[in-house]
Amino acid sequence: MSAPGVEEIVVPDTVEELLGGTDVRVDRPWVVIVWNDPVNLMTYVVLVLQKLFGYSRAKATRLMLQVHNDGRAVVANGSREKCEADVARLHAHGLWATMQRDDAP
Amino acid sequence: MSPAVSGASEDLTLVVAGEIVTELDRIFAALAGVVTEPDGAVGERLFPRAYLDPTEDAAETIWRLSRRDALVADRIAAIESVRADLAAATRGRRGAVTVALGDGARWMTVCNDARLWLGTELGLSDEDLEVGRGDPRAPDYERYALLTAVLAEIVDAVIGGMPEDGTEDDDAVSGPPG
Repeated sequence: MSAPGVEEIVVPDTVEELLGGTDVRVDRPWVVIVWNDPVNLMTYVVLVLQKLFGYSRAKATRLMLQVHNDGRAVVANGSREKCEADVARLHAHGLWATMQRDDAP
Repeated sequence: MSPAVSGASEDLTLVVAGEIVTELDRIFAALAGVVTEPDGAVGERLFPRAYLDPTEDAAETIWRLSRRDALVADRIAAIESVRADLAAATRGRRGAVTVALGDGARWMTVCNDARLWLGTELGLSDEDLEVGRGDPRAPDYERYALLTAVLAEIVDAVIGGMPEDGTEDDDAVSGPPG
């Protein structure tokens, strides 16, 4: 029931309803993944990770071994824009890198 | 004569036999063509996707449009720079040639790009590749091995001059996803 001349306002129950089904996920952090490949030298991968991300030799070596043994490793994270720039820098150095949301399978 | 790299971090030199200089220049000239018009598996390896998730295809397209030309231009510039270093090489005794590499950065990316190209064409995997003398892949495999030797020498020299400590927090990135 509404009073004459007064427009009824319907308040949505959820954010999704408010935005009409728009994807309302906040821009969750992204991760940059380096994948194993049979060509890149292990020492070269360590050098690139140290140079691009400022990691210590120990951390760069740990990440390289994770790539080698597990097939992939997360080497950086952040916003979509930052990760796109990181992927481009890794590609420029010949590493096989991709990016995905940090909750992606 | 095996390739040998020495010198200070900003002033590295490569000493090789004269015929190696000629062979490297030939490889890098061919690499320029591959980089300019990459095709098939080699193209996918030199210029991989940024996004594997097919729901991000629109982002992938935008990323490629905004980055691809710069990646190609940087690679071509590096190849031209390295070929100029080869052209300026000085000959010494017994056929040895000395090539100035600067800080080695461009040499590493060019040698690595050439290895990615040849390694992909050879179908390298984590298994050892056995290539006999009569194998039609033998010439490319020999080129790949040469590039590996040169790159390993440069990497050892450069990484030896880098500090072991990093500038980033060691706990900033965690383990593998998923």
